[in-house]
Amino acid sequence: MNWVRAVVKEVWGLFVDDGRFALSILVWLVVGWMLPKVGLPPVLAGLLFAAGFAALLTVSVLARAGRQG
Amino acid sequence: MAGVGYAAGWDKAAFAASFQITLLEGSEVVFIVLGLGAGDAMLLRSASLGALASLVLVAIAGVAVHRPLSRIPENPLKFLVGVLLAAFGTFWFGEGAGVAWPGADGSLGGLIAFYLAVALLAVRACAARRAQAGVVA
Repeated sequence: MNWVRAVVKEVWGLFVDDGRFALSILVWLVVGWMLPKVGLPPVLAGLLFAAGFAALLTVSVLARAGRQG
Repeated sequence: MAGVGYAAGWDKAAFAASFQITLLEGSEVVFIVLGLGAGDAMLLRSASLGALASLVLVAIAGVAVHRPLSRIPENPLKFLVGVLLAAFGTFWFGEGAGVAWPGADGSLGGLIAFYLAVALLAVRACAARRAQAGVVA
């Protein structure tokens, strides 16, 4: 069954490189989905969603750069 | 893999890399077709035909321009594709979530410029951090 585990691990690795980053994106997607539904103006919701996503990307890049020294 | 040279027969590494990447992109195509075709059967048929036409076009383009494409530096290509994916992903998700983009479809250009600026700033920040770490070490 080792080969099955290896295949599953490879396929998982295709989609998820950094688990914490992937999880934070999923959380932000849920927040982004909710933004227009909680009464926020739709244009503001879009801008906020893009800004938050950019912030997540930046934090992830800087954290990885810090780890790699 | 440029400059490695071609050996006779099958190259397992090239086969595995190609298989993995195509599997990943193929799954994305399935999600896109299902997302676009979720409305009704006619939409699904049109979305599937669009994906099929795109597959044929990409295959023809791949055969026609694979040599000049292999000369494009890998990292700048990844950088640019990452910016485009982030912009298109944000735009489409926003459309699905019900946000209103200023300038409608034209906001895609703004999103691309925004993510490009953020990415370039992040590169500068990383370089500065690395230089600082080098000075400290």
